[in-house]
Amino acid sequence: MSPAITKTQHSTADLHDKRERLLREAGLKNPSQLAKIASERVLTEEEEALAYELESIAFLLGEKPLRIN
Amino acid sequence: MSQRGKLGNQAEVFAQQLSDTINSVIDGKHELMLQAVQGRYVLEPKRRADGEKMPCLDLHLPESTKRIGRLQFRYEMTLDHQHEYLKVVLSNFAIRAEADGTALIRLDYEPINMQGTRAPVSHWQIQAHHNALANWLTLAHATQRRSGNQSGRVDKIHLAVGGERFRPCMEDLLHLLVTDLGVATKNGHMRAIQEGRARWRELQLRSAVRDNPAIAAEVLANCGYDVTPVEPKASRPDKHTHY
Repeated sequence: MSPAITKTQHSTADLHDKRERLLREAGLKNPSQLAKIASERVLTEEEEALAYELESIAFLLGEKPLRIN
Repeated sequence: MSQRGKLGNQAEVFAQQLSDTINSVIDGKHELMLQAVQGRYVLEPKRRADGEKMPCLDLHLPESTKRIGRLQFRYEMTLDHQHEYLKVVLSNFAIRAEADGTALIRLDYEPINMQGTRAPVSHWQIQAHHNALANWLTLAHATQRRSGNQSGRVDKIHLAVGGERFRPCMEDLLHLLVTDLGVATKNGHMRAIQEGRARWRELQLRSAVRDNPAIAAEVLANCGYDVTPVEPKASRPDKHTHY
């Protein structure tokens, strides 16, 4: 692959840890809390970025599709 | 090679082609990140620093080094229903404002099983405002809760574009950035856009044929081909009925 692409192979444990950390840093217990915020108001850029990360993690883990925003 | 290995190769080829197109069109050097876990892939711009809020590509106007906006995108990919080909199961594209990251123009493709019944599987959303349309949306919402929206937000309207198979591609968004939004480009950018678009449409055409091989055979017969079914696969007409 060209240097313009970085490939990262995750383990499922890495992704679970990452999700836990992201939620903890944002002061959230689970992704549905962010989905509830998105239904009530426009998400900030930070929240939207977090939503994308959580959606991607759910997809990579093969979980039920998650759509926050 | 294992099925997962083949899929990995297809994902890498897709990432490579997309990277080549982007780097042939938008001025600057743009890096992408391909994340993988057990046959599932996410492709998006590479985050340049831990503190970067949203991984995006920089956009600027010609002869200006000041960033005017950002291009954000994300593809989620896995195997298709026949477990043979790489399938994009979701894609999000957004042209974002430099100041606060607001998505000014969005192009989303979401699987039918992920969304509610309102939004089309592939749609544009535009950040805009006009009093007449805002009033219409609030009145519609007051009459029927599933229509319009309370705040009269025009960016909540989903403009349907071609469903699963005939939806626009990244190259269409790049074309919009170049022609209507005037971002700085590289020499030969239009050829890269056209080649990328042709690749995308060929892939989608192949998928459309697999969705309905009987129609494909009928059309080929009309074009003078002798098409004989050996082990014909079932049609998937649902792919062409979704909003």
